[in-house]
Amino acid sequence: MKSIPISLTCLLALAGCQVTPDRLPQAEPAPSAACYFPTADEQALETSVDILTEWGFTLTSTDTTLGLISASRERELHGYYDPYDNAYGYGRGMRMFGGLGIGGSSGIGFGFGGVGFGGGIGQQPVEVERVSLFINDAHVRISRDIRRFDHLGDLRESYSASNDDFCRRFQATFEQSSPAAERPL
Amino acid sequence: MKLRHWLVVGLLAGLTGCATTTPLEPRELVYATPVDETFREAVDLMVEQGYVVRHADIALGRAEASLARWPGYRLQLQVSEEGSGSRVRVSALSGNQPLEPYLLDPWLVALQHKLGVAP
Repeated sequence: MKSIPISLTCLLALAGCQVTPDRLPQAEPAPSAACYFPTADEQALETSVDILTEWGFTLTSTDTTLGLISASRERELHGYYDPYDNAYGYGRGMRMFGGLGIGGSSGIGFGFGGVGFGGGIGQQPVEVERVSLFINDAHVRISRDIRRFDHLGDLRESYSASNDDFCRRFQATFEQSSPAAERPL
Repeated sequence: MKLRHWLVVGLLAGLTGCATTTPLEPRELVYATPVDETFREAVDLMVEQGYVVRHADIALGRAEASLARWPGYRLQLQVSEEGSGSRVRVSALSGNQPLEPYLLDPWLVALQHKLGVAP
């Protein structure tokens, strides 16, 4: 009987501790092969900025000497709920630590200690897509991720999205927009 | 002591064990390659591994990148001149906790291979 409190103490002491990786993690799966392609375009940086802004991205930072573009775009998610969390449903009930949420799609939220997207009246869940594009040694390299925030501004999902679909579309548009493509045969 | 006391002690132990913050400690390595080349290859390695570079400045020799994998990783890079070569300082956060510096050794070795200066 005496061992029960000791076991409980040990369990509680261990609860919440994270398992540390054995090395710095990388994206899994690794970025698609289409996210790295050669270019002969001397204006590759300008062409890439044009494509990204046309696609609705906002430039976060650039370094033209280095050849780096960092951009992001945001879109509202209608009727989004976290597939991994059905405990509270969407936009109702009470959440520990996160705050209070009342109402369905109208979404009245009170957020505490949130980062970036604090709670607010009628706030929509959002998806934030971030892209970094690096031009080095006549090659373009792309990395991308997607993060989803609920109506309280809490991060619900995040994953690397340097996938074949996005990179192929970018590469195709890049090759069409590139001045090299307009050269007569 | 009653069970309730044990629970309180356990909870306190759990909180003290997990909530302590250690300062962000960088891992360093000196490379024989010039600063400019080292910095470019380091940024390239970050993007290659799926990190999204949020900010980079070659004049400052600093870059910051993040990986959208739970609990969220942030990698900070600083490259400075060291004689005719360069010194790379790298540190990382896992969520809000600093990552143990020795975990960054494989990354520094990968950069060595990329620069073609691996022993």
